[in-house]
Amino acid sequence: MAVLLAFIGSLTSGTGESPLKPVQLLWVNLIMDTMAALALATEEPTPDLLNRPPHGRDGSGLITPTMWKSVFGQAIFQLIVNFTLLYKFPAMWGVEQDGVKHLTFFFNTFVMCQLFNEINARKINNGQRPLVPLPFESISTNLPFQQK
Amino acid sequence: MNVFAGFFKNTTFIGIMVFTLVMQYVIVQFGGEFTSTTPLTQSEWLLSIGIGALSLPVAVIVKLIPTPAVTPAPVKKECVFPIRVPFLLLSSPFFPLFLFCAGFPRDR
Repeated sequence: MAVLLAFIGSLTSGTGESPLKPVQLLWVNLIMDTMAALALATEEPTPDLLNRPPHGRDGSGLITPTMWKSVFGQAIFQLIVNFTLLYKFPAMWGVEQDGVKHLTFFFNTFVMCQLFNEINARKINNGQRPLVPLPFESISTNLPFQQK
Repeated sequence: MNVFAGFFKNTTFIGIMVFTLVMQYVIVQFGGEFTSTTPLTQSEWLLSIGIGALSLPVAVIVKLIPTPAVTPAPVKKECVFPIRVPFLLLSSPFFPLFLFCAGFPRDR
């Protein structure tokens, strides 16, 4: 996604430069790979995980269709947001096209999207389970709860 | 599943998020020439964070799209001890080592 942005952005910008500068890309790379991996890898296992059966090697790879869906869903969303910011934001907010202010805001929003998506990545919904916090999710099967 | 479940129990996660945010603030506000940034106003920061936070509802909508269930892994039978172990010993590349440990090439 960042590659697409940097490539298309630099092709279409008036100055011929990438909207994300090298130092900024290094920072983006650091938070998306190193920091996010560190943060997500330290997640505590939950009893919920035991409801997920192991899946076979044939047909579905390590990355399940659900994961691909999440990856592409977020990528499409972020591409829409970022290209809108890149081409429409200066007129809307009254800043210079490809000026420092514009590109700083662009960079900052890009990083914010990554940060919030890091929270999204904490749980992968497998499509069969309720997705919003449901306080009464398993009330019918929760025996200790019924006995009280 | 709730993406915020157990969120505040994981101090490492929170620590990294806070560190990233603080560093991002420093880069944007004080990075200057080096990071090609200029300080943003408060409303610009809020707008930026707001747009970023849109990822959360987007993820909820994306998760509503059904996906095919993954094929479950076949249940394997337990290995049979008396057959399995000698086979592993014989087929292992360390077989000469086992022989050696058993004192096979006796010298003198």
